[in-house]
Amino acid sequence: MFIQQLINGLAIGSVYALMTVGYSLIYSLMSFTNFAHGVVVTVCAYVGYFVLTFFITNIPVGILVALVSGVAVSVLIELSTYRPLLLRNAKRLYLCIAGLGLSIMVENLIIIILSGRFKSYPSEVLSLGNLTVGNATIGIIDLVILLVSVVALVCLEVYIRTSKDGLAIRGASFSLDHASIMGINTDGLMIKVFAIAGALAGIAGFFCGIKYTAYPKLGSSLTNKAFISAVLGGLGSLPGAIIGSFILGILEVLVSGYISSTLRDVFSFSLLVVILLVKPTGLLGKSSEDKA
Amino acid sequence: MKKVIALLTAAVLSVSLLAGCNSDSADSGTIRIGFVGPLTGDSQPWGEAQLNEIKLCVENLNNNGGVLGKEVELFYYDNRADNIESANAAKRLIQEDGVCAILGPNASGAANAMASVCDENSVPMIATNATNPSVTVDDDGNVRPYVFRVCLTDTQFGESIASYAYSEMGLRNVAILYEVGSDYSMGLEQSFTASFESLGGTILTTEGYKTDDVDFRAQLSAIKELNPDAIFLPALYKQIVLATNQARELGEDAIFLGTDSWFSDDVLAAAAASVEGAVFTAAIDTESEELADIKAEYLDAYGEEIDTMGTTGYYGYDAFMVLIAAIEKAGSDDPTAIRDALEGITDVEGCIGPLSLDADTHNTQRVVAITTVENGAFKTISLYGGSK
Repeated sequence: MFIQQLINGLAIGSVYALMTVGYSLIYSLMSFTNFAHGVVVTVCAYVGYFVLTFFITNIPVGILVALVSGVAVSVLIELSTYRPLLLRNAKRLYLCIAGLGLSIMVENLIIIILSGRFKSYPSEVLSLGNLTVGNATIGIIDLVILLVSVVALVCLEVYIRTSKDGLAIRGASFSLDHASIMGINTDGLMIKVFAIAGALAGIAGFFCGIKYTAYPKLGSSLTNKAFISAVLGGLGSLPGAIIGSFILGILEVLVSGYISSTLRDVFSFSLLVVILLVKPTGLLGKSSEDKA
Repeated sequence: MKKVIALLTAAVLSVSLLAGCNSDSADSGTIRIGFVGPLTGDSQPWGEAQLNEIKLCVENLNNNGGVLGKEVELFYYDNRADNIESANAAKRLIQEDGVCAILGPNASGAANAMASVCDENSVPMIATNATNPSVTVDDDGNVRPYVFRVCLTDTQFGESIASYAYSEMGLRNVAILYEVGSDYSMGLEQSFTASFESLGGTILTTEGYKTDDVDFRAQLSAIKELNPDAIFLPALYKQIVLATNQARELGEDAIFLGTDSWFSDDVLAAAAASVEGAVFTAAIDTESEELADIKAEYLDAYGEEIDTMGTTGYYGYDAFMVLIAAIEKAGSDDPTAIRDALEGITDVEGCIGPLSLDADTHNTQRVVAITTVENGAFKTISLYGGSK
């Protein structure tokens, strides 16, 4: 059973990772927690559902459409909600609150427009089958998710390590103001970062939609988990975000499987408190100045 | 500070004045009744079907001369299946709209929250699908004077499915997956466990999940390890779909056992293969011919079936009929007189057969329809007499 639980944990962790990395990326640049990140996940889960149900039942096409809509929604959130506040030099805390408000608003809009009922992806997508190794079973879709997550995250890491934009992002994450003095177009950079975070959230939304159906609270129910993962790994650190996500995913299934499923969240949140007490910067985080 | 206090006092006074005005107007020419149910959120389909059916009942009654020579006027609020919203809705109905009785809600947690409001304000409520025993009889065993229901309790449902599983299906080892923090799911888990064990069966394990959870594979893997004959899943439709699909994905082939919440077309649409062969207790035998008129009327009025998302519509009908019978019996729309009439009311013409409310428990007796999924459709396999 241990192997099976480990596989379950990896599958859950890979979904968390896609979401957490977007979180951490925006945090590292702008020093605030983007609570509207879940909106992108939810919207893209619905986009994926509509594309696969009414247009074409093809997973790669679905991923692509979800990715593009993720970019669009995320950039739209930046331009419509955060940009006006930043222009008025609003405190970071107000950005958090605006994000929170936006996510509640979108959730309720979806309920009004599309009803609170879940939307299940077409059965062709759901019945991809399983691989059985010994006593353990792994769904093909989980393998696809794991693979796509890893590819997406490696691409992102390479981009940040090697490209000119990546250098700018790394520079700006030390100090946005200094980066701007050094001639970096920080406004443009923010849009790029929101686009990247949106792309990952779009993919996460599509996969969550397949696995868990599309429903209005999808994004916000994952937001807590992504937030814990990000703090665990060190807010602002991308490798930390990935490690944090997998640790949380695996911890959750092991606690559920071996101790008690009802105690799962007690463990997750205790871990958060312990990390904050023992190593406030998280596993791989660098600084812990006062940020929102 | 003084200014603030003065302002507050003024506000409180004007609100109470307004409230006073409104309850006075209850003496107008209509009989005002209230409904509370989920009209948005996850549970919206249930609330909507119920409200729609009650609206039809009101219309029919008024077209036939109303009750006590007066027309009935319906006031309704959305509780989003939330307990605090439900209590607020009940307060508004009683204090602002001046209703003489409230129908609904369909969920146990919400009903418990409303029950205290109704008891405090001495206005009767008839819960529709709130099955937790504590809705009508509190934890100390005292009956709540103003709270009634037209559905069975979790104890009755849990006992029915447990005894059917043990005696008729010959199941001996069952695992349970239930929602921690849901009055509905916890109540069923407890009554199922108690009945199944008292019959001689074994509960291999009881795994829990939280309300917003969508991944149950950790719990299901632990269950699979124990190799149960069946898995009892007292859950709402979304969790039913996800958990049954995930179980089959993990190679778990045990039979699923469920309760009244399983009766939903969404379960068939999204998990037909996974729930094939599942056995659950439906709150009403939807194949009964007695329901033909209600079904036809609803379809005609709203363009969709009354029971695509479960049986709540029928319970809306029953609750309404019981209330109207009580108003007639009381001969007035005085809330306390209606309460007295509800207590021990007998032989109200419900959607299937006569309904009576027990004077000691405020509960009712009904036949449970044991239902299965066969070739992707629901099928009643047996009618199980209501145990007390």
